[in-house]
Amino acid sequence: MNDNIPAPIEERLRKIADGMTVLVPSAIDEAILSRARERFAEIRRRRAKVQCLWWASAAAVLVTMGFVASAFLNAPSYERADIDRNGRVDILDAFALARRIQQGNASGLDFNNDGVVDRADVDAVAARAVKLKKGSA
Amino acid sequence: MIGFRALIAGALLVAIGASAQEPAFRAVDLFVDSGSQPLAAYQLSFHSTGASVKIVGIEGGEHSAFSDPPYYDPQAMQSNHAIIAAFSTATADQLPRGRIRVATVHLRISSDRTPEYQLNVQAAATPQAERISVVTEAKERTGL
Amino acid sequence: MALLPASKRLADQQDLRTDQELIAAANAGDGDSFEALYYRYREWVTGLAYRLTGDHALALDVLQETFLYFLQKFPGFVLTCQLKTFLYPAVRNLSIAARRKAQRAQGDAAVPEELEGPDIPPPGGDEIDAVIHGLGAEHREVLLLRFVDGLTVPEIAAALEIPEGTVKSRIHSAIGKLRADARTKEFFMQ
Repeated sequence: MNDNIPAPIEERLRKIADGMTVLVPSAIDEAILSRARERFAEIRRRRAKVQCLWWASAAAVLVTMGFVASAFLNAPSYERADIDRNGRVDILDAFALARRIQQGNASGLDFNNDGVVDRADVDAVAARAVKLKKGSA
Repeated sequence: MIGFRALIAGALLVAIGASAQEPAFRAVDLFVDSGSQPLAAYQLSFHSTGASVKIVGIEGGEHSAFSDPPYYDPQAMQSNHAIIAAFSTATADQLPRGRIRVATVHLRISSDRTPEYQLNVQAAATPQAERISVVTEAKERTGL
Repeated sequence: MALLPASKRLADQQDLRTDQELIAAANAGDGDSFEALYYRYREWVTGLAYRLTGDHALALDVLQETFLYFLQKFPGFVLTCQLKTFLYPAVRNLSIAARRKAQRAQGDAAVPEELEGPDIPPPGGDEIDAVIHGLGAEHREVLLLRFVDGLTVPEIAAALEIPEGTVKSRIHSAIGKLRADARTKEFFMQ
C-alpha cells in the first residue's frame, strides 16, 4: 500500500499545524535571548582565556624550541681535521691519521686535496694543529 | 805589563759592549716527563717574556723518536711564541719514557733583561693515542 | 478562534546559513547565530508543544524550557540529524512534565503517562478535519511529523523514541484509515 497522502490531505494537515501556532510575547523572546547572551558572553570569555593559554603555551613551546635549536645549532660542528672529535685540531689528530694510514684505513681523509692520503695529509693536519692564532705571535 | 792592561781594557770593552745590548743567543731546552708511560706524541706551547726575545730556530730532541725537527708555525720565527708538536708511530718499546728533551728553541735576546719562559702542555699521548698527563720544563741551556 | 502567527525577526528571515553553520558559529561563541536558530524554530517548538499540551501557557513554558535546554548544549554541540529530530524529544518530555505539573496543581489525580494531545479546533464542518481528528493523537502526530515537519521515518523514530517499525506501522495505519473513510477516500482515487 502506498504510504503517501494526497495533496488536499497534506494541505489540511498543514493548516492544522498552523492552527496550533502560539503567539510568543516579546517578553518571552527577551527572557530566552538574554539568557543566551549571557551564556555566549561566558563562552567567549572562556575561549579568550583558552586562546591566551594556548598562545602562552605556544610561546613557551617556541622558546623551548629556540633553546633546543640554539643548542643544536651551537653544537660543535667538528672540523674535518678533528679526527678524534675532541673539539679541537691538535697533534693527536695528525697522529691518528698517521696510524690510520699505517693501518690502511684512511680513505676520505685527503686533507690537502691532492687525490691521495699520505704523509702530506698528515703534515697538513699537523700544520693546522700548530698554527698560531693571529695576534698571538 | 802593557798586555795585562790591554786584556783588562778589552774585557771592559766587551762588558761595555754587552751592556750596550748587543743581541745574545740562547738555547732553551724543552723537557717532557711522561713517567712510566711511553710518550708517542706531544704538543707544547712555548712563550718567552720579560725581554725582547725572538725565536730564531727550533730543533728536535734527544730521543730517536723525536730527533727530527718538530712541527711549528713559521710565523713563530721572529716572535716570542711557538706551538711545538711531534709524534712517532714507533711501537711502545721504541718510545721514550720518563724525562726527555723533546725539542730545543733557539732565541735571540736583544735586551739586558733576563727573559722568562713559559711552557704549557696542550697534548700528550701514548702509542694507543691515549691522552696522558706529563710534566714539562723549559730550561735555558748553559754552556755550549 | 484562530491564533495569530508568531512574529519573525527580519534578521532571521535574512539569515541564509544552514543549521550546521549556525551551530558552528554558536559553538564559537556567536550569540547571534543561536538567536537565528531560536527564531527559525520558535514557531515549530511552540506549535509542537501546543499539540502535546493543549495549552498556550504550557506551550510557552515548554518553549522556554526547550531553548534553555538547547542553550546548555553550547559550546560543543554536534548536530547529527535534523534539528527538529534533536528538539522533538526535549519538547515532548518537557510537555509531558509541564502537563503533569499542571494537572497536579489542578488536583487531577489521573496523570497521563502519554499525552492525549489537544482537541483540534472545530473545522467548521470540514469532514477532512473530522477524519484527521478521529485518527487519534499517536497516528495524527506521526502524520504531522512526516508530512508537515518533513522528518523521515528514522528521524521520527528517534524523535518519538520508538522503533522505526512502529513509526511505519502508525503511518500505514493512519493512511489506511484515511483511505478507508468515505469522507476522504475520494482523494486517494484522484
